[in-house]
Amino acid sequence: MFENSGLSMDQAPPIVVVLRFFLTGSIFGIVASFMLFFYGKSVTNFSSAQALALTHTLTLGVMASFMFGALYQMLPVLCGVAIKEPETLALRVNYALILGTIFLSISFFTANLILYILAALSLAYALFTSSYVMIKKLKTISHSSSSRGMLLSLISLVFVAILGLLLLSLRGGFNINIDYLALKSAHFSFGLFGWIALLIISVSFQVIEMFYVTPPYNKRYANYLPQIIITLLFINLFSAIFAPAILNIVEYIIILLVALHAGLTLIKLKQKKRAVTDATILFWAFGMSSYILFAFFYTLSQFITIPTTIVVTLFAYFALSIVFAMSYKIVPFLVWFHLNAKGYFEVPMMHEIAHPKYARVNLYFFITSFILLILANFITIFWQIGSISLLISFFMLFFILYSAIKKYFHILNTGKRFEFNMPKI
Amino acid sequence: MEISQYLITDHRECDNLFARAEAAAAKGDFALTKDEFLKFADETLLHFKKEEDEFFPKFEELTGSSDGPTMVMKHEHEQVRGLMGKMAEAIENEDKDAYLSLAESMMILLQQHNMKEEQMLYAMADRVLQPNGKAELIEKMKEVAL
Repeated sequence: MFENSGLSMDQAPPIVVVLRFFLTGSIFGIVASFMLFFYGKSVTNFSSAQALALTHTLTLGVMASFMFGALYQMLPVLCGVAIKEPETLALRVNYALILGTIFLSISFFTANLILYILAALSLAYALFTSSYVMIKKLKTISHSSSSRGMLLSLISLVFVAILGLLLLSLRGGFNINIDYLALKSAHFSFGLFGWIALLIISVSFQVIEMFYVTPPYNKRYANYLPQIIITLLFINLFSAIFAPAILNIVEYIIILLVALHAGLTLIKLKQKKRAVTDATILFWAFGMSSYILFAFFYTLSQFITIPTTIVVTLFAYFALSIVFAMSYKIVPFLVWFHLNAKGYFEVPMMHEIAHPKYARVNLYFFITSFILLILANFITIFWQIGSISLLISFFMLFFILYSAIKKYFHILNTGKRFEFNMPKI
Repeated sequence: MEISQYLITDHRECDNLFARAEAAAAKGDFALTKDEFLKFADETLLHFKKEEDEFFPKFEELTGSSDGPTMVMKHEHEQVRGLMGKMAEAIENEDKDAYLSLAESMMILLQQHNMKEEQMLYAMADRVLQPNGKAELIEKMKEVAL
């Protein structure tokens, strides 16, 4: 009975698998900041090529890169799911994701059929291959609330990708008998709430208690929340086609459920037993607060006119905050862990890889960029100043990732180590 | 009582003791840090001993394998012991930054280790062992001393 239990504990992927994805994500963050600097106010028109290119650079280039990096690490270690030959697969997926994001972003400006096809092929490979391997593995294990949520988030990602490819086909001039706006709305809902929000919820089930020693989430709540959200997303999809009248209600319930989770997470963070409040906790708290504000302004926008860019910015900062929170926690630990497990004498401590003071300065730049980009809706010059602050935030993250890789390989190549038999790490 | 219930209580107690030592270090009170750290180290090492002397051999007997998950768990115990030595050194040197940095590594290392034990090993033992087998194993673990 133990053979099929998914018990595989010594199969953490090589550190380069994770760091390569994270490094790519941070570079796309830098690219997105430059785009924002040069595009400025034009991104407020959501149908513009500029807005579409920026959105997909952030979602595919940044979010998907960080997500795959984190999942390649988390699935084997925390869920007991071993991915075969992760290095080869991750490298291929990484390249396909980079090319797909670049082709897609350019194709919004050029409307070139060849670019559409290249973008579709690269992204289909990147998103379907990784998701397929991970979903297949995740289906075989007995689930924790976190792994179940991750599974549902990956299924949503596949769905987002299929809808995205259909949208791309329509843009490319293929005649498919589907309503473009309904398709776009479903792509949007599954992307924001099915993929990104569910992923963050699932990760929070795993790491909030673990990193910060907080009281656990209620088990029943944690088990059912992702399932309820995904069910509502499908109801939302069908109502878009068959009963448009209830569409807004269903979507609003989803938004409130995620807001409830954001509120609950803030309470958990407040109840943490660890005395130290580092930047990663503040990134989590900022992200959750940003989501609550998103839900609030979304509600308000149903009654009074509020620039949609504000609502979108709030959601973006919810997602990006968690990227920073996770990176500053995971990367220093992984470098320390892998070198320590390999038996090196001189292993840098986590603070030597990313000092908490550095992470805090990064947080201040990140929050400054948020404030400025919100104000940019009223004072145009703030688009540029805000994007510079965002650029600095992503550059600081890139620098930490780059120096972590450099330190890791320096010790790997020059460090002295114990020689003893141990399980493969 | 379930095996998981008994051993998870140990994990949570270690977490609480760890958090108290870290809080003392964050204030720069190294006398208190030393006291709290010793309590954390004692509790953790006792828990490891319960597992290594009683729980793992039983688990190996049930699975018929001694070089699988229990070997990885024992290796991680060694990593924790090594880290404890470095944390004790940081307390002796009254080096707050080093202590907090090592504490960060310790916390993640312990938590991911605990999670694997709780979600896999303990859960399996609970599924496989009969109630009297569980009671007997828990009694044996209660008798373990440092």
